[in-house]
Amino acid sequence: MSCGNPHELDCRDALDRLYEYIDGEVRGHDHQVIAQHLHECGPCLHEFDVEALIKSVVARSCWEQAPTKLRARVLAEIVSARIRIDPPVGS
Amino acid sequence: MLVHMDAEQRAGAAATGGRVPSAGMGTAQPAREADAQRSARFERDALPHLDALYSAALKMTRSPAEAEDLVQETYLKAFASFHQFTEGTNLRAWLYRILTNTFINSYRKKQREPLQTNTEDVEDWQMARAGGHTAAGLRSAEAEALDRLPDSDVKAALAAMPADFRMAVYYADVEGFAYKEIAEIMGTPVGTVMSRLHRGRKLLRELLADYAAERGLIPARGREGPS
Repeated sequence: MSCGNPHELDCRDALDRLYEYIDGEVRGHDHQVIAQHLHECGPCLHEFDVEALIKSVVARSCWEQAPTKLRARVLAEIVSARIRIDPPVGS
Repeated sequence: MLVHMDAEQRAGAAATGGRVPSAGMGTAQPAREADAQRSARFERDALPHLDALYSAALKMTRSPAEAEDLVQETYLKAFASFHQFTEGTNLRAWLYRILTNTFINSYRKKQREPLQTNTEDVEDWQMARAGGHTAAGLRSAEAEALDRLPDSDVKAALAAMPADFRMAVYYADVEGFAYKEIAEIMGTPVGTVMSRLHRGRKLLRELLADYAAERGLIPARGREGPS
């Protein structure tokens, strides 16, 4: 697969590592090579834009706040476990 | 072990030649104090992860009631084995590992499909459709549309995915865990994590595009490639 233009890195290879690149798992020279490819290759840059967007869309949509009563329940259980380990003076 | 002593305790220990003054408990006293210190440390360090753990639990169970039970059970297990946790290592990943194992042991039994076979069932043609370049014009519309999707659609798309794919994507995108950490949490090699992310994200992109089409944000599905 190729966009038709010459690159140091083949489009297929760039796309194969695109997720790793977006996830910050590519370092050093490899990172530079992929960044350069995206700079030169419109279609691959477009893929990068879509995939990076999906990543941020998932991040903003899926964070949940725990119900208040759950926090209270868990805390109460830990505190009662601590009292069992280390009873207050006089008890 | 005389770690985590405050100044007063240290002064007392120095005065008595290195022994912490005890209330007549003898050799049990330092162990009890270590336990008390440890449980205080648990409350201080582990509890702040509760919202995040609930969020992940909800992704796994897809039921708020079960998610609450799962989180509570996780904290109990974590507290009980906190003495085995080496301070200074990755507490967050350790908690998620317990969450995952608790889910697999307690809740997966209730589900009809085991986690593993779900990932085998995803059809290859779905992968093929989602791969590679297409005309730049169509992709611009796709990026626009995806950005406009309501949270509820994104959540529904994730809920429709096989659990292994869903959780790998969740850990990478929502929690920002490294591949190595996700491997630790899910108990698989890094290669398996990468495969789940690769296939999971391709599937997610298709599912999100379906939602976008349903909302009229992009042209109706069924045709691939430039027109």
